[in-house]
Amino acid sequence: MKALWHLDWLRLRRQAATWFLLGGLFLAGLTAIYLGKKFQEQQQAEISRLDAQFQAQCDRLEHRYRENGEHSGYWSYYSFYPVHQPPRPLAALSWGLRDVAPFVTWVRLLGLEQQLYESSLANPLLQSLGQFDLAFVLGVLAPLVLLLLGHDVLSRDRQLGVLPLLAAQGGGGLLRMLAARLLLRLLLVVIVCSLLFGIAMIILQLPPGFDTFAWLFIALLGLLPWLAITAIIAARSRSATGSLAAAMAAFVSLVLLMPALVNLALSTLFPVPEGLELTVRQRQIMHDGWDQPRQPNYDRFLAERPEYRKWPTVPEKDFTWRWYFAMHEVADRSVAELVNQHTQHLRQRHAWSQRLAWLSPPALTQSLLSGHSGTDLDAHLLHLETTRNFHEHLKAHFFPLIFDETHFTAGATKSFPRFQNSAPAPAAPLNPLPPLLLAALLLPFARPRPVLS
Amino acid sequence: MIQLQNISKAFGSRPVLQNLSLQVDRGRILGLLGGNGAGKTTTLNLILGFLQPDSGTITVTGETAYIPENVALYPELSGLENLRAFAALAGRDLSTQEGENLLARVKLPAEAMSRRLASYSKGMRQRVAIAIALARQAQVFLLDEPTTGLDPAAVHDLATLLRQLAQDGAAILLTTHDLWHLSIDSDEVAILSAGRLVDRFEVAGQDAAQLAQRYMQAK
Amino acid sequence: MPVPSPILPLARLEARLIWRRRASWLLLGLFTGLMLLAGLLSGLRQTREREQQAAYQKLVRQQWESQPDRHPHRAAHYGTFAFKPRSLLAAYEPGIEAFAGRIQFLEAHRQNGANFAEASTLSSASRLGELSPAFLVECVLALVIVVLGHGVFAAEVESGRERLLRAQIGPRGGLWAGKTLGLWLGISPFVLIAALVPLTLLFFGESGLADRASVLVAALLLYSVLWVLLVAAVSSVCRTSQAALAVLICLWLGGGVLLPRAAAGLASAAHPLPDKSEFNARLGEEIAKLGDSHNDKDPAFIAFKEETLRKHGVSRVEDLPFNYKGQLMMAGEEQSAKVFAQEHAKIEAVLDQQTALVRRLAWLSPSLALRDLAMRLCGTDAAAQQRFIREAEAYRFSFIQHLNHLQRDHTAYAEKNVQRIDEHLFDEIEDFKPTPHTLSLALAGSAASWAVLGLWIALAALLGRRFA
Repeated sequence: MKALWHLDWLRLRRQAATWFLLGGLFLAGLTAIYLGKKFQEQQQAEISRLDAQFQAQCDRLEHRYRENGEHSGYWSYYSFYPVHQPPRPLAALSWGLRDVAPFVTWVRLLGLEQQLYESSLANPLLQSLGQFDLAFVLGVLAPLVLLLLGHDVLSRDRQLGVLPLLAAQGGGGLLRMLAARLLLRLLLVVIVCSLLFGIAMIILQLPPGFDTFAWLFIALLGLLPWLAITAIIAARSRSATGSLAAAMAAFVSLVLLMPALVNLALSTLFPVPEGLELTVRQRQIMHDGWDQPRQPNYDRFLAERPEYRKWPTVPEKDFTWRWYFAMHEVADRSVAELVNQHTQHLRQRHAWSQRLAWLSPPALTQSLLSGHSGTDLDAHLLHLETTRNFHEHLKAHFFPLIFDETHFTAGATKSFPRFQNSAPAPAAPLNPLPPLLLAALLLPFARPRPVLS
Repeated sequence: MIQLQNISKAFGSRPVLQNLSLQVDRGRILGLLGGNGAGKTTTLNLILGFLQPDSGTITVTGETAYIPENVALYPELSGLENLRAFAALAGRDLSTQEGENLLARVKLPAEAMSRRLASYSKGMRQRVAIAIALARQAQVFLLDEPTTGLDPAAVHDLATLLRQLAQDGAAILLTTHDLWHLSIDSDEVAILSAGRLVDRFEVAGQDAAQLAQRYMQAK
Repeated sequence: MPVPSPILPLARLEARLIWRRRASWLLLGLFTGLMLLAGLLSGLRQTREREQQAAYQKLVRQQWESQPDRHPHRAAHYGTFAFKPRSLLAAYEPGIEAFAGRIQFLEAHRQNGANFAEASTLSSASRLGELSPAFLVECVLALVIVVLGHGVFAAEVESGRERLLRAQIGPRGGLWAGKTLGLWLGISPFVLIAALVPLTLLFFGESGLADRASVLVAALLLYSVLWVLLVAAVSSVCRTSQAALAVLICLWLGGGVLLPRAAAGLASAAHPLPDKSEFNARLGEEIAKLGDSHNDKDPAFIAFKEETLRKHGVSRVEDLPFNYKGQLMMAGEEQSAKVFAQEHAKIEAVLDQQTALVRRLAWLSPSLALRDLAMRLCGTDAAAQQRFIREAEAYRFSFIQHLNHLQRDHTAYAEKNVQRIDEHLFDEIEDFKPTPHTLSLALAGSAASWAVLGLWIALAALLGRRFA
């Protein structure tokens, strides 16, 4: 094996293509790290400004009502509260949905559902072009480099006519030769990937720990199915041109076509009605409230929220904040079932996309990496849930005060609730099995053609 | 007819051909004999016009056909298709019948005509190349090492075919190492050594052994 | 006797050689299958979403008209929706719509509200791309041309046939023109399949698509010509077909896979957009300076009040011939809309800078240029999106002002905002009527992308002719 490696390394290092590919991978990785740093900084800056923004808003309120204060209903009508999901450090490496799905949501005491479907401020053109994060470099480009370095390890010698000579030298046959050569190339790619990861750890200040290294572990595991694919192509093809074409076909179908096809199929087969339906329904119920007798609506609220029975009635004629906010709550409750369905639907589709990711190693890697980095759909749904919980918290805080017709005076904002339990989304459970299984399933097909064929 | 008069050619300061004069008339076959680096291929390239001589004149009358050592045609196409496609490039549209007639004239077996070229032997490919030349009404044939890698029977068949062409009025120049082929095929032998014409004589019934003796002497 | 030009026989020969290879048939089968699948799924989805949108549009209108008697400002907060016009062509290139949203909720004092973009509901693997027919053309068609054509000159040189070819052609020349034409003819079935998708969409009953669809097909043809010429040029420069294939694959990868992503990353790093919280905070601050137009005693509006009183020669708002509160709302809406426009113009400036950077990088990538053209023609590009947002905001403004007008003229100041007006007054407010997408709108600003295609074609042709 050592002799095989030695000869192979002598040849490999003299080829310009080797250094071009590995250098290109390294450069792409540095770019991704730089962009990841920017991504991280922007997100952290956005989150770090929230307190000041909230404070400025409170100051405006204080200023507005500085003279005589105002009914607590007004204060809560005009105050928005930021709920955010901080990124896990690893989010800078695999952005997942974090650049399209909002991770900061400002909510106020009104009906929640209509407040959830604003997207963040972004350039949709850039979003549609795709992401250049380290997960892309390690999950898509590194396999490509492995493919390009390894697809012709046998066919090239076959073409040169060296193969019979090499085989006649002994050393354990073509399979051994194939294995030795591909492992050497895998090693080179792994070295570049690990180097990039090391640089990323320093630049992005990732905490050195199991969690961080697990990311690299998953990314490298993701190379194994590709090793198997490279081995199949290298073993089965007759000419170097043929194997290059086969390598490209594999790359295009697994990286570009399969995930795209799965995506298209899933969004066709599991249509998730946009939040529109929720908004339309909730809006209707909420505004109908203005035109209906108030007490029955309020009773509906009390039925849902028995803890407010202390305030059993609302006046029919005069405006009361009690009735106003109760109406919003009723509207939210009336779509609760729909919201549930919506979330279920999303989870179902997400589960399917994870299942179908088996069809494409890069999709599998992306899915595992964004899961581990807390940037996938689950993380976003968690953010929505956190937002709902905080909204509940707001209600629990303000409703008794408002229902009591409390009048807030200067300094009231000091006791306003603030979103505190800001934990990043947890990492999805680490599951190294899929890439290993995929590789194990594919490898047996890598049987070299006989020397003379 | 091919006529070379006092041709000299050097690559940089290295002379490849010095003062070479040769003539091949219609109906005759000249074998150009010489070791590696003697200047055979340069001579062919000069006649083909791929190279320009430093001095001297070259006259070629009639369409020239060049049959390289390894005839490269399209393996995806049949012999007939290759013939018709290449003839069309030269501005000649052959009907299937015309094509088959030409291939028959170069003795390509009828069953092989519509088979893919990938399955042809080297000799068969050579025949298709000659047919392509014939389609252009070539009068001058330049063959580079035509017998390398042919079995004796194929060499014999090639010799017969070339003789036939010569009888039909072609002037044929071939380079070779194959003395047996020369002995059964050529009218005349010219021996090149280090860019000079060192000997030139009529074959006239001499066998391969006699030619070998003559060749060793000339060197 | 004049010898006919060898160009046509060469072209015929090349095309024939392509179809003699089993790989070509395999590729054609795959490409057709993928195209059918993408066209079908994408078309199905667009049709369904169009129907859904039409149904919602109808429902929202119906809800609007069946409002009970209401105070106009209540109706202004009830609000309405603007729906982006959808063309079936979006099935060919969905463009940025998944990220930008196609619906906008419109209500009083709030701009740029919920937009229901679906991107945040997808799985992260979906960021690897969506299989639209346009994507197949941009990426896969180019790769097909590379795979089938990389040997067009290099393989001839490699095998030694080049000499024979040249000998047969003689001094007439035409090797480059003939073989390149042949390569294009050879791959033309792929182009035909690709063109069929936009053309098929014409038969689904949407009028006014024909001109855009035909320009789309023209762009597609240009793109195929571009790749044929590029492949021919590289094949003529490289000595072996394997080297040609390697170079072409690098070009393809660089322009089609790497550059778009890198461009997106670099553009957002070079010109960072303010985040939404920051934008809203700034907006909130500016709007707070204006005062609260719900409150007719707000000190910020004292001057306005005095001006109004003076103009009508009265001394109390109660004596005005209309409801002062409605008048105040109108003033407030106008001011806040102006502030929003000012702030949003800053955002648009950054968006434009980002887009401009991507445009500049598109000179390096014909596939980006084609994508730009396809998105424009299908009405799924950034310009169409901005137009929609701008028109929706303009509509929102006139919609709200209409309601404020109703408040001014049909309610009384003394009634303390509880007075309801006749519901039929709401019915006269018309729905959002976006400018329909037209060919000239689509082509405005597309010169650069056409120029990119033209430049690459010219360069590739020059290079190919020189070396072939």
